[in-house]
Amino acid sequence: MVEIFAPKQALEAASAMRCGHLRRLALVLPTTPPAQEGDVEGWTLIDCNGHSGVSKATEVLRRVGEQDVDWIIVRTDQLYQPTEATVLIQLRDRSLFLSPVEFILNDKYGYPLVIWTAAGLVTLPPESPFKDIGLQLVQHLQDCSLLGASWLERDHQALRTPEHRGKARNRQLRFLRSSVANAYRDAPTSPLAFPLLDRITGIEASQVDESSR
Amino acid sequence: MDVSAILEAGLKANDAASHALTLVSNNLGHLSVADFASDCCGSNNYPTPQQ
Repeated sequence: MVEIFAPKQALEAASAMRCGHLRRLALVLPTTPPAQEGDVEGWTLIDCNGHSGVSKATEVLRRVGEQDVDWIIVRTDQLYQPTEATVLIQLRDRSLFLSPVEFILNDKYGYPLVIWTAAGLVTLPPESPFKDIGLQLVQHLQDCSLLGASWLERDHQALRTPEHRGKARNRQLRFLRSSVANAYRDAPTSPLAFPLLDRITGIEASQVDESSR
Repeated sequence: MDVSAILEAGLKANDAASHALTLVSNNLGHLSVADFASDCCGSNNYPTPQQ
């Protein structure tokens, strides 16, 4: 059995870099139980909204712009919602959406990226090619699955796929159509209802066109 | 073209839109992000908007 570089080791190694020559860095770590993770004190955490002690990506980017934060842990595996994961990566056999945060931190703000993989840490210097960042993040997510039950975000990763988003989009449009129909059920010939329903039909048609390209 | 600036602007716009949807939903009381995310249509059992 191949030994996996533990996320805790990754955090320790990255924390040692803080004491070295690096002034700032962004560390990409998988989400594991806190007991397996180590001490994150002194790091600013980016993950999905709603967790205590962490910040939304936009909030951290605002602070980065004000030069208020140097050491960042990005939970890439938690950034899968359509509002957070907006960069479509097309691989040979599949496509998936990634968060742009790592790209922005590296390219615009000059943060070296230190990315956990099962084989060890991968360091990308500031202004690395987007292709390299994308490929390493995909590798990171693939390697997360090697953590087994310790990887707490496994079940959410399907939300990155265009297929899942397409189904969710259709569901939302059906819900919206139903809501409009319900809202005007006592006045079905209302001139206000038709433009709304036409607009929904237009959106549905545009989605069909897009998916057939 | 500054791609990362465009990505950042998009991220902020998404965040603002999501926040706006939450505010509107809270005021309307019947359309919520949770409603949209749920599989409410699998059984054709649509939530009924408040009158």
